[in-house]
Amino acid sequence: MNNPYGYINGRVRMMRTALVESRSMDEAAGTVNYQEFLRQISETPLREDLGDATAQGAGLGQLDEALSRNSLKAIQQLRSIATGQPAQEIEALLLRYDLQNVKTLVRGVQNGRSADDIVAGLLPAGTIPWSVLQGAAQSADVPSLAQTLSVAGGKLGSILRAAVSGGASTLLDLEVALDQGYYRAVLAGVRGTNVRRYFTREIDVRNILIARQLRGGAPNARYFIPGGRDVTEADFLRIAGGDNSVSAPDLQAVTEAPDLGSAEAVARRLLDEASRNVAMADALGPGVALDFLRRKEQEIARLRLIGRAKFYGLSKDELQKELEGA
Amino acid sequence: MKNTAFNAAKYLPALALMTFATSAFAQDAATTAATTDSTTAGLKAIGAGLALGLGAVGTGLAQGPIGAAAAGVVAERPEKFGQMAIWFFIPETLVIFGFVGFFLLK
Repeated sequence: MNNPYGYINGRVRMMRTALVESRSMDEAAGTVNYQEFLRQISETPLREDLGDATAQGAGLGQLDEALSRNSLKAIQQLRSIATGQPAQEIEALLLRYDLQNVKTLVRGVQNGRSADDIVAGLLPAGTIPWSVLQGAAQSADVPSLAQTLSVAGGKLGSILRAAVSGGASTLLDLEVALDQGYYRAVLAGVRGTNVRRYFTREIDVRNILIARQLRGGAPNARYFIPGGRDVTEADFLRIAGGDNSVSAPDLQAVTEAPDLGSAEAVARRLLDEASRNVAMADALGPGVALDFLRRKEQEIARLRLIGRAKFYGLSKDELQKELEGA
Repeated sequence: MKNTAFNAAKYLPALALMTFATSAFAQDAATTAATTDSTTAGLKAIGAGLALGLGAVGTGLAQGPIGAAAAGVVAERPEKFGQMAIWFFIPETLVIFGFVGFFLLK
């Protein structure tokens, strides 16, 4: 009878009202230079976290720090209000940041980037402690990174280590192994039907994107992520072989997009819509938190893009094109 | 025609029973008057109790989730207290209707 999400979702809905409104976002995109952009976002709820970003001579580094700080604050707040079963479900939702961070670490270490560069691309969110991520960024190679993360890197650290031990060496092998482990953990961690439905849709989209990435080579079923709803292993192999038809009409746009970049943009829009739907359908479940996290992520990504565009003096059209893909 | 006769025949036993019962009750009217009064009073009391009790249960069921959500909203935005209080008190109408029923039956 008593639903703990009543209280949590009441708070999350109020936190959602503190996100930068689309009108303010448009105004920020329409500013003439970087200083004007900073002045514009100082009038939004972000002002408390801007700190050094608005100081004389501050650059994109300070802006990134400010945005990360704001994002982390929202996630910590979300984590602090959930207890019991909802806390476990919200932790499962936060695994997506672990996934992003571990992928960033793998890419950075494999490409031989410096530790500072890798740390700059990490999100101070998720369930892996920040000190562990910083330590892992200094790894010399992927096996040592997997070793470091397996000690205190939570579920994904163990998954990465298992993948490396199993012989995964290419970036795609490692990323797909991480995706498979992540979706397995998430589907085991969330109970709500609506949120599970959202994740099955996300798995379908991810499978299509992987299949498109595999086009031109030999299709292999080991890259398939189980747990989806509309895209079966046979569909996956068919799409990887060059066929564009899928059983779900809304997924058709992802398969038919002209290139991988636009397919990813279409996929993002599809998932944004799915997360909005789940927030409406799951009023007394974790769907509201899921939608909030996605909106927050999008807000920060857009502000980063606008900040960069203003800093480097990109034209309005170029910025608009970038924002459409974000 | 045959069907109508059949339908009427179906209800004959019940009609006969009611006729006999009515005449039997009429004979015992004087003796059962006191019993009927007390039965009516008892049924009224049960009705009044149900009206108030079910109204209160309905209010409780509605106010539970509203209260939880309102507490969440007020924790984030204390200035929303008044607005949330209005939403919280709306289900009180159910118990008020119950009270009305209770007094009417009393």
